[in-house]
Amino acid sequence: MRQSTTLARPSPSGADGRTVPDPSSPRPPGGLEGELLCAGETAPGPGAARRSPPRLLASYAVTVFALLTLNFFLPRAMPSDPISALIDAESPSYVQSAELRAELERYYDLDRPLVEQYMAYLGGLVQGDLGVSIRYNQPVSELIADRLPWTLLLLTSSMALAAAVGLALGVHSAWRRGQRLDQGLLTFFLALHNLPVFFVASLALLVFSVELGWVPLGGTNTPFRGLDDPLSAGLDIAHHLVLPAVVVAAGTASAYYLIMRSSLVGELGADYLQLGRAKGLRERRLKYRYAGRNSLLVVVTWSAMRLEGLVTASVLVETVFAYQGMGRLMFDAISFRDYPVLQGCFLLLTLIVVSANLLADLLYARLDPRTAA
Amino acid sequence: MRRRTFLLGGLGSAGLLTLGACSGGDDEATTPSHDAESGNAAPLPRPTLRLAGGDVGFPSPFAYRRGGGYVMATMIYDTLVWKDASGELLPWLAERFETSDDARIHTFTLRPDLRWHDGEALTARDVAFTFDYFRSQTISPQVIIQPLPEIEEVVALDERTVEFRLATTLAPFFEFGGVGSVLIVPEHVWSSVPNAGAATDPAVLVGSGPYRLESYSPGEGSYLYTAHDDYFLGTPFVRRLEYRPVGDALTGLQAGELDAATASGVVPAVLEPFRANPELEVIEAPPGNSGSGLFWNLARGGALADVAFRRACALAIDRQDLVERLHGGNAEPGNPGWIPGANPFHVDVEQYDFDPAAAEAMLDGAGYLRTEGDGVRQGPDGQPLRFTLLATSPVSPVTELVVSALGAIGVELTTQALDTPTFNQRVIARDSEMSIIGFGGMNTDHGPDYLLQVYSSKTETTQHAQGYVNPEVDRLCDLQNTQVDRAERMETTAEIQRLIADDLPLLPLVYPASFAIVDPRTFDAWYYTEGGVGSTVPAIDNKHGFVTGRRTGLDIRPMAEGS
Repeated sequence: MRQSTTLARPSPSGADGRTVPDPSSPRPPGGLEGELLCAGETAPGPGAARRSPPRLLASYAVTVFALLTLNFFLPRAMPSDPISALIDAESPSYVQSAELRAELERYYDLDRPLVEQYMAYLGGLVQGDLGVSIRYNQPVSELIADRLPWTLLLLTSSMALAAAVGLALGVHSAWRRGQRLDQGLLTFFLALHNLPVFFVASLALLVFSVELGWVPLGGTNTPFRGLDDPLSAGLDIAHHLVLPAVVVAAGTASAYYLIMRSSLVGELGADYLQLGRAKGLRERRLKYRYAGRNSLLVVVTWSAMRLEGLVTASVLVETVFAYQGMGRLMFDAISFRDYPVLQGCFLLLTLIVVSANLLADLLYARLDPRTAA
Repeated sequence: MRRRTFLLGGLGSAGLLTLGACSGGDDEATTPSHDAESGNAAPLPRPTLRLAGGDVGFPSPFAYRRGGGYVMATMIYDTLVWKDASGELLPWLAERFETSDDARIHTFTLRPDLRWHDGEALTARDVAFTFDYFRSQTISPQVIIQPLPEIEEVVALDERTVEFRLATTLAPFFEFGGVGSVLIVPEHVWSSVPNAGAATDPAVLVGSGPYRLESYSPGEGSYLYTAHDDYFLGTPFVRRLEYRPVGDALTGLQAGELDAATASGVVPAVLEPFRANPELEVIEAPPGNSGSGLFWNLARGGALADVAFRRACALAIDRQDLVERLHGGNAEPGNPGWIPGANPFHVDVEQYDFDPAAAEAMLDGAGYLRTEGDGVRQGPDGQPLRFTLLATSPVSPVTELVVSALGAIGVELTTQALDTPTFNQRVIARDSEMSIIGFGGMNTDHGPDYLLQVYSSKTETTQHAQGYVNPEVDRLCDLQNTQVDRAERMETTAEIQRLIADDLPLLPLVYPASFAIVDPRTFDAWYYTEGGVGSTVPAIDNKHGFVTGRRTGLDIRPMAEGS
């Protein structure tokens, strides 16, 4: 985690504070963005939001087009090709002649010039056609439709879990910064934040599935159990979901915690909190409704930018838990140089990440009226 | 080898012959010897069997992948003849056949009243269509069973009679790529499908076989089959087959999630807990279901094309040590004659037993001398014996042991580990010096044909002996393919084995043994088919056993009432 060291540094005012909250703490110098973002990462927030919506959309459209082009050429930049992946090295019965190879290339349209393939790819996209998988011989859109719900389930449940736990504890920790609880939480989340996700996943699998047997070894649901009873089917899915979701959530929750804590520490000395306190508002209201809400601004921006990290985590976690989502699909597609599937997956990711950023841009204006035009 | 004799009888003489030396007549089923062989006759409840899944493709005869995928398709589709545990050919869709004097025309008569799962009649026209349709399609090389090119014409003479006209006499006609393995598909379903390989809608899976596919999830690799109770042999004994995706089959078996699991090349300690468990049974298959070999690219010339250099390398590699060290003895050293010991076609050839001193002497004698101080030998052409060894990633211990063994005699190898697609591309393009390549299925009926596919310069496969051309081997490989007299074919393949062991264009390193661990409480008729499922795949899931509940014969075992 690139941001962790920056994030973890206690704000200048909060390091030694024992009392809560310390109204005399000054706002951290340099502003929140300076504190939270490393070089090279700039918040899309205020600047972008000031642009008019049509200009904003146009700039996003250009980005999407550039990414679509990249999505086409990147898979083809890998060594080898789908036909070589199709030929199985393990058996001499797979006759491999130049003619057969040429025939297969023709069949999958891989014999046409790259530019022609690119135009066909763009043409297909315009018509909503993502092509056919070379490995599975199935339309890419069908494969994605099968897998996407599982990844969405995994990501939304882990996001919700991570946000609930990370944000609440972040607020709590900042409010009591420097105290034993804060120090304990900070150490715990810092450690969690720096553990590689595949390690956490493997460890969790070993402990909770293999040793304790509390949860299944993997998969999205029990195979062939039938769908006679929706309630038990739901419970079965939840039973399979809980461990992967907790593992994905663990990494994200620690990031949420650290960012919320850091952001809120900066809010502690703010005038509006002083005023609120003077008005006699309750601590709880000040903590969550006032300070917490104000700190959300940074969290929202950050969440959108962190989405791609979440996707990476899901690829690793889905692989460890044999969870049949997009991550696994992508992983296999890379192994088999399945260009159409890779293009389809990348397209989806592109759209998700770009629209999340767009949403953050638009949300930002709502959360912070000052940035609106 | 009863089946061979039987086959020879069928091929060698003209006239009507009834298939089914082991067709399970009443007498046969009740003879003690038969009972002992099939091992079971008591009524049992119809079981559901749970096996290890894994994605082997959509199980249509045109879209599956590899041997495992073929087995999946055989549950839904049938062949004209099929083998049981003994390797005996049983009448399956065909009830009999006759062979012309010149053994180039085979006429099969189908059983009466065969039906597809959708109720349509299965006729000789479907058989003829199947062979024609395969030819009209571009099919992935991973669909391992495709009709042999020597099958020139398949003609439906009437509703139940179909004639195969061959370009030449054809040894594997009843086996790989012939009537014992090509799955018959319905014309009324496929005639309107332009791209067979792209048809992945479950609705196309109308077969005639004992099971229907209920569900398949690509990627995850779960398959669920339920019995087709109106099957022509009777209601299948096994009610339901579940291929479940499990990370590790042995763990799955241990956790009670599977009824059977297979393992290859595992050390004895892995099998120990299963052998110790009185409730489980360990079935052993002889080594040769898979293997790996060291390939020299002879086309590169220099030392690689020098047989003395290759023989010296062979002498320097302790293959018995590979067997002990990597497999704890559960393997067989690779055979320079390629065919593993358990295969009936195997003959003893020069083994190049481990002798590093002889290897050094051979290199010295051939002019590869240690002239530089670094210990790497130089050839008579002044080129040092430094080569790149291609291997698939992750690098296996076999590769490391080969590198160290050859290093000891002054041959320096640098391993280049590549992922499978890149490795395949390099090997196919012959862009290699030396490589370690895996292969499988040498111990099936397909064994002798593999000689043709690996050692004949006329064929191209990934396992092909790189740059090897021996016109005599080419001639004999072609010859054995046409020899329907088994004794003659064995003689020819014996000569090929001696020649290739002598020329040594590649060195098979190790053949791991395979094991199946089964739970006989749910089902007790598991077996490895002699010669492979469909003469091709070394697997324990032969549908014959699932249909009959027995190891041999066509009688279906009595089922417990109400099951």
